[in-house]
Amino acid sequence: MSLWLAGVALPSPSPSAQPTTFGAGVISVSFLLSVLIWGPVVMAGIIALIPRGGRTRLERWPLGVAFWTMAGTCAITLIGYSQFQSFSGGLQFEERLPWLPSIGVSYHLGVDGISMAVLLLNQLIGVVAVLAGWELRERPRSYFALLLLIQAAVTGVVAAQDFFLFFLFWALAAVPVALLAGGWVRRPGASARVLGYWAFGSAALLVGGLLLYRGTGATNFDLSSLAGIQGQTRLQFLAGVLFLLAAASRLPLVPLHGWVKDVYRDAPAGVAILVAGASSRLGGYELVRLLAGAEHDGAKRLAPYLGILAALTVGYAGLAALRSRQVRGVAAYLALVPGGLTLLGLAGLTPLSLHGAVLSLFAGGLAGALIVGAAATLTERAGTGRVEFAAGLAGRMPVLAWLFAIGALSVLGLPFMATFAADLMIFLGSFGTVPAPAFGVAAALVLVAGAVAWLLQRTLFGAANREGPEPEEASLPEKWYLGILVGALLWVGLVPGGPKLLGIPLFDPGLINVISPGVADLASTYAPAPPPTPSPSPSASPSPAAGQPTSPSPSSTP
Amino acid sequence: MSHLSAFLAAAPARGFNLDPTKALPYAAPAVLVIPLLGLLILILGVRARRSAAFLGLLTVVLTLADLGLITWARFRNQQALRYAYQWINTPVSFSGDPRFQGFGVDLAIRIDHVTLIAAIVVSLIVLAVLSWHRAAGRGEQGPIRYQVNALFLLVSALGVIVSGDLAELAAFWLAAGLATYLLLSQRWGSDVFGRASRFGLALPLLGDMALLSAISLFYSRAASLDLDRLQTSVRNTPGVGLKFLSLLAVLIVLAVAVRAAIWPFTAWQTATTEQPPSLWALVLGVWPVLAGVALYRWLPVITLAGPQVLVGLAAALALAAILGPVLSLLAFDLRRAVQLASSGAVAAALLAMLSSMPAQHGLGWLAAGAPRWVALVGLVSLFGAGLARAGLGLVGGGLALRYRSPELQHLGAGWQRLPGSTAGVLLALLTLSLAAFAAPALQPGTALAARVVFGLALLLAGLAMGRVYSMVAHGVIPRRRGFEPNRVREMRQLAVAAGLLPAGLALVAQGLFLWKPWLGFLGAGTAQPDPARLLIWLLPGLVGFAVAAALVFVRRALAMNQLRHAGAAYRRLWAIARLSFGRFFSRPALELTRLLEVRGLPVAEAALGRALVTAGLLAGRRLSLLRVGLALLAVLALGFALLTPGVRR
Repeated sequence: MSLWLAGVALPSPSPSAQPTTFGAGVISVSFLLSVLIWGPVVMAGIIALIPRGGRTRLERWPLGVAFWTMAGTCAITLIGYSQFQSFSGGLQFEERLPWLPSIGVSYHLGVDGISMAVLLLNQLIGVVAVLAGWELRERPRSYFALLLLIQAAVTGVVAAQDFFLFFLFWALAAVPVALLAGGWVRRPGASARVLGYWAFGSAALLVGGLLLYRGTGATNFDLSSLAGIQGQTRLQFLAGVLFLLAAASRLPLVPLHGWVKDVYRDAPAGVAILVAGASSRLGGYELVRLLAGAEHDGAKRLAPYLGILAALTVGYAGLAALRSRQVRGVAAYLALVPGGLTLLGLAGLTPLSLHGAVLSLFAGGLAGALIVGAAATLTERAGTGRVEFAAGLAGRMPVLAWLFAIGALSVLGLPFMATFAADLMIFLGSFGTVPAPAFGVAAALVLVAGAVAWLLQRTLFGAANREGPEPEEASLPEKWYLGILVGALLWVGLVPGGPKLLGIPLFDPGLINVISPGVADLASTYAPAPPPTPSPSPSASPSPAAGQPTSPSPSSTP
Repeated sequence: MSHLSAFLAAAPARGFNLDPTKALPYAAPAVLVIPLLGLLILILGVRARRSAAFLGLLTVVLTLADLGLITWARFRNQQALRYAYQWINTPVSFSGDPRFQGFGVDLAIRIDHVTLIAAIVVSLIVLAVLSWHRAAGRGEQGPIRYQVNALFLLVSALGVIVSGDLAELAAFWLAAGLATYLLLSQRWGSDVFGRASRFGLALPLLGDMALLSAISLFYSRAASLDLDRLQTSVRNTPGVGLKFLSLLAVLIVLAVAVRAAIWPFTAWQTATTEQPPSLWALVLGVWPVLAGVALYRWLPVITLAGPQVLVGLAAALALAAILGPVLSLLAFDLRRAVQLASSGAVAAALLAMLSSMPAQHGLGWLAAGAPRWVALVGLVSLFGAGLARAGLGLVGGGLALRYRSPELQHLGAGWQRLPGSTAGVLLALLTLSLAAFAAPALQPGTALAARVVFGLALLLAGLAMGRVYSMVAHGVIPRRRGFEPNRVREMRQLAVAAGLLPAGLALVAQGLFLWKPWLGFLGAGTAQPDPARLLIWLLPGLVGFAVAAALVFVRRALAMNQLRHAGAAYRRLWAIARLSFGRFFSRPALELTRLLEVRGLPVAEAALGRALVTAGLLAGRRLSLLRVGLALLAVLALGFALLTPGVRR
């Protein structure tokens, strides 16, 4: 709170984004990110102070406060997104305050294109998660307060430009998730499991970060300082492995996915959505920032292993989904697939595959949240979670059935959805550098398709189970939250570069334009070397077929 | 806007004097826009069966009219017409190889004569199928959903055909696959149909992933997504070797083979024969056309692959061309027999396309000169096969409905009871018996082995088709319990016409090879078919057809009995293969997953938890209360110290 007040009082040392489009001048002060982090924290405190309502009007207050807080932060983020200076590298909306100067820790926030994409995702998912808890009656105060705390922690990780701050928010995010798992999941040991996995990842992250700090010889924990490590390949590799472990526990990747069933399958829909959509994406984000962005040699050495892990995760998710007999269980495993694809993009280590990986953080988050949320709603509305009982639902709840089907298919990279654009960039970018893992992921996706086909056939298109409970169609808030996710997936898939009228960009600058400068900056290190120029030789054949290199331009250059 | 004003300004003040070339800037994108608009209106606004059916038909007719306008405008122009609209265009790197510094995907519309014919064929198939559905599919569930899925398939198929960009091709190809899956899972509420629909998603995705992998592999080297510059890009890229090109060729042919549903990838179509005829016919008809177009576009690169690989691929296609009809002879379900027999015809046409490689590569279909020409023959034969399969799907489905059984032995007396449908069957089967006959006929330098293979494939196709025809057309309808043969009546006229239209057009498409201007329109230049040679190559298919018809006509029961034994043996073999797959692959893999999920992870978690608890307990025992208190104080002090500087400021 005090930090936030300090942030309000002090001007930012670096220039904020200059408003250029819609919303110009609305946000031009330097505490936007602090508001997004501490606003939900304050509102969580207010929710905690609301007296117990029982069955009175007060019962709905926590929901209302949480919803308007999430909607407000989402609106602020959208304005910030529309003001974001596309095609301009570097940090925007930056805030910096010295915190522990003796060890070089500062309260340093800022977003570049990569962070902006994840920030936007987090805010969208926040609204959706609250809508998913519309009908929750069990301890709403604690539930919504904890949801807001998760949201704040995720925003903190995304906005942090100091490793110390990054780590603090990263570790803090585990606490509300574990509390929610403990309070709302019936499975024994759920809370301990989530906390155990995530704390393990946090410890790995801390040690990896400290190794990097030592390796660079930096005097502060600024992420840009830690990114300057040169040589020391072994140390880079070790730190990279630790970062990978941290990411694997969060994204999650096989075999550190033990908490998935507790959260994605057994937790209330809102929690599952928030974790699958936003919190888990931090694993990929951390790899982009600290592995690909900070230690280039380590990333290059780790790339093949990342690729293998990606193929393993996608294949295992397909197999486990085929084996599972619960709708939410299948959905939980399907939600692992986007993480595997993000990892493949990182393994590719080409500019295009890294673009795809960052886009897949956004698209995969939406797809994961959609499949997990749709499965939770479907299970609730069908009155049963077993695949053999929840059968033939398409004819009886058509809207929910279609939303569920779109969610399941979007995991596979349904054409013209955001996941397709991301997957396309990942595959195009990674086949040149890690062909075997890329083939592995492509083959594993066939397994996943088998699981999707099986799930859809059993639950939606097969014969109805007349002896089971009578299913109901989704309620309005449920249709809304699933609709928002589908709409966002479609929007980014159809106009990744933003809508244009007669060539003039409209209200949306285009997600791909926003992420592009940040990723291009990061990815230029990994750009393939230009082809060698041929030495002029009188005996050279004039025919290009003889292997003489020329420099054809790509079909469409920007 | 400037185009529009120019177009309007150019319009004459009096009389009708339309210059179609001036409408091209609108007519070309309208190929995709019209069906897309129809689809959106259907999804958003139509709730009645009749309106949906009307809108679906209107959309297809308008699309055909638009294609007619483009054909008129481009009739004498062999060059490809190209319009491109940006979808993704972004810089991805600031340094390194300039070819990889930017990434762009265009929604390109590329139209030439072959494309136009393909688009017209697909639209005609959709028109026939929707008409049939309007006349005979009233009882089907989900009529609006059906129209939506059919139009979705139309948009995607047209997108595949006109695409000029590899990423766009992949997008529309996957979209067409998705539309196919949705069509095949159209009949909700039944476990049998639902189970069959699973094949419609998982198995074909294998091919789709192969295509995506091929495109990715190509881009990773050539840094180009332009479909018109495939060969140029490869030639201009240093380090591209035979291994790379061979892998590319294998992936493309795999993708095409899976989606064309030739042996051994027939399961995703044969497993779904129980679906309503209108949608099964749509899937059956559209995919050979799309597969042919995709292969045709990639041919410039495929022909650069290693000779051994090309020979291997050609041999695989030849095997599919032979085994398809053979398996059809062992099938007793009309629709299954039709699918398998026609898969042989499709494989033969694909083989003809692949054979357009230079003679030195081993197959020797060509002596020299006109590889493009043979590929065109194969492609146009595939168009014919697509039309014929759609017609067969409709007519065959109608026959199964009328006879209340798809079993071949339950059919008969077609000319007496259902003359229109039987004529449709005859036309379609004849077309398929002659698949790509013109390919070897037009190549004087064809090697003997290749000629034998092609002749055998044609002969077997004829045999399989002839058998189906004679079972339908001749003989007596056997009496069955609860079935009165005298009540078998022809379908409604519109339904019969809808089946006859594609079947008749298919035969015309095959026959047009005898007409020289047609060859010129396709871009064959001065290639002139030798009528005698063409007639010779018509013989194997026709002979096979006639022999089968005669055999069944004379010894119907005996022929069926012998084949039934062979069919049973084949099914046993197939069941053994499936069981072996389950025993040695899928079950162990699932068991391994189960072990890891149920035992491995919990055991590891529990061990870790126990270790932590034990460590905590041990630490707790050793620490006195005072020490614990001091430690807590230290933690609090640390927390305070961390926060203090921020508070101060």
